[in-house]
Amino acid sequence: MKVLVHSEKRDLLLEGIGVARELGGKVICLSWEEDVLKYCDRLYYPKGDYSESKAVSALEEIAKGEEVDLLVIGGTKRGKEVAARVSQRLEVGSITDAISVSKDGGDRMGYGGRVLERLKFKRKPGVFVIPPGKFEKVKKESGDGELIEISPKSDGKIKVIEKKEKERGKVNVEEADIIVSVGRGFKKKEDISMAEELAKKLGGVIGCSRPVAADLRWLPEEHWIGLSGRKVRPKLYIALGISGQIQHIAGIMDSKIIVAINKDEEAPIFKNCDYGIVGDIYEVIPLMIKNL
Amino acid sequence: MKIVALIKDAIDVSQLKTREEVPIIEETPRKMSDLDRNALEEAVRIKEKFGDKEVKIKVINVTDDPEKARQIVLEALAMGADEAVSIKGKRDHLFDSKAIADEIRKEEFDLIICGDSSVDSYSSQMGPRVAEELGIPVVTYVNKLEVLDGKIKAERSLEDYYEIVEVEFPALVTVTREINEPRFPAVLQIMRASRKPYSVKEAEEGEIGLEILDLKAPEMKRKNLLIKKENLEEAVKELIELLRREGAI
Repeated sequence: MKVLVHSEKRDLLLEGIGVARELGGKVICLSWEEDVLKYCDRLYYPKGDYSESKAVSALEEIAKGEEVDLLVIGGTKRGKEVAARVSQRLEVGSITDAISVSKDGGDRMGYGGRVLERLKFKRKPGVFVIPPGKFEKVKKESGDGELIEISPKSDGKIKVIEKKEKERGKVNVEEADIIVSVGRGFKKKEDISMAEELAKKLGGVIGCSRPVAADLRWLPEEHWIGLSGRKVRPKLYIALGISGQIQHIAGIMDSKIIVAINKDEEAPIFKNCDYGIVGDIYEVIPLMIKNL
Repeated sequence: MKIVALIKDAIDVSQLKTREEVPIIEETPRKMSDLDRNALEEAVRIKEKFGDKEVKIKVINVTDDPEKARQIVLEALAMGADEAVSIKGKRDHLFDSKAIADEIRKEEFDLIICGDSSVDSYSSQMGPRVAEELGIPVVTYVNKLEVLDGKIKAERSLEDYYEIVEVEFPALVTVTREINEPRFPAVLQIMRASRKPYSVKEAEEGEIGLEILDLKAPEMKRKNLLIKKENLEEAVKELIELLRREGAI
């Protein structure tokens, strides 16, 4: 069996190689980082800068030339685009955000994270798109891989004018053990400092729901937890003034314990929490800080 | 300018029906997929900016059940599209993207627009697949869009940065929820929209990429314990005690 692995992000590429090694067989990679050669059996190493179009045409060519059985692609936004495009060129099915994989197909959570879908590939090669942080990175170096330099075609139709860095802090909610998460129940940006104080006391980090990051922009996007934000799996998740829309729940369902504080007893978050207190966050948070 | 907006009649997951842990998709209501609504809204705004005569919007909906999609397609027409087609597909990315591309190819077009994902499946596949099928460039995760002379300028919202790109027509764009605040037409407007051209078609035969073996709705194994006490401070103390006992803090 041959598995073709690609991600433009190093960590995710190593996770993809980890998945491929578990599946067994030869591991073939497409990467712009030469030194990942030590983890794979064959590395296709493109010259020049990365672009989605180059990745798509390289993957198509390698998949056909090597007659690979499976593709494993890292599920960043760019990666999802690349995976869908190459799947269409190869005329095959693709499983986005796969949570378990086998040579015949895999599982994913569909319907807003509420339904486990068991899917089977009808055509070869099958394509998996893996979510960041779900699978173990490869540890073992294989040693004597083969390096093949390539010059993939770019369609040249899309002109990149500018890249602007998003505002960044130093949080990584995906790796946090305790997350204190803020929602629309906060009336103004300054009030988030209450939650920050609580997080500090617990040794946790700050997360938030979609409106706080995307609409109000009170916090940088790296705090945004949910289906279109980050998916988290902390030991303790405290949802403060978060109603618990299904897209948010989908991002926190792997949490060990979920605590919800909300003044609306009907808020959906209470159906998805372990412990809940119906009350105003402006009263409950100071009481939590005081009693910890 | 001709714009094609792709609209999915998504399963409304917030109303998902289940029986013995098995989701009953057929009995769950549908709605216009949120991000497709943003996409159509963006198309309508382009039309409003350049004028009714300059811009025509065609809605293409691919669905397993055109009857269930009907109300959603009418809503799309009420939002400002000029004509609509529902194609009976198979809820399979490979099959449905080919069906959409076949329909698009029948006429000249400049811009195709859809959500970056659908609200029920969240696979993020349809836009890029349709673009590949048509052999045109795709710009994904767009949160700002500007139509210039014969081309577009778009800002993509990626994980770590914004990327601003330009591309000539024809092109396909997938949009994020942040691109705009979409409109929700009134019932009367939706009824009036039934006068606009709207046809239902069968897709050509074709291959599917994935087979669904089964669907399961795993029960959320949460304790759902609401702590109710005389006063809030007692409740907070109880909560902290419970969390300590579980070793969470």
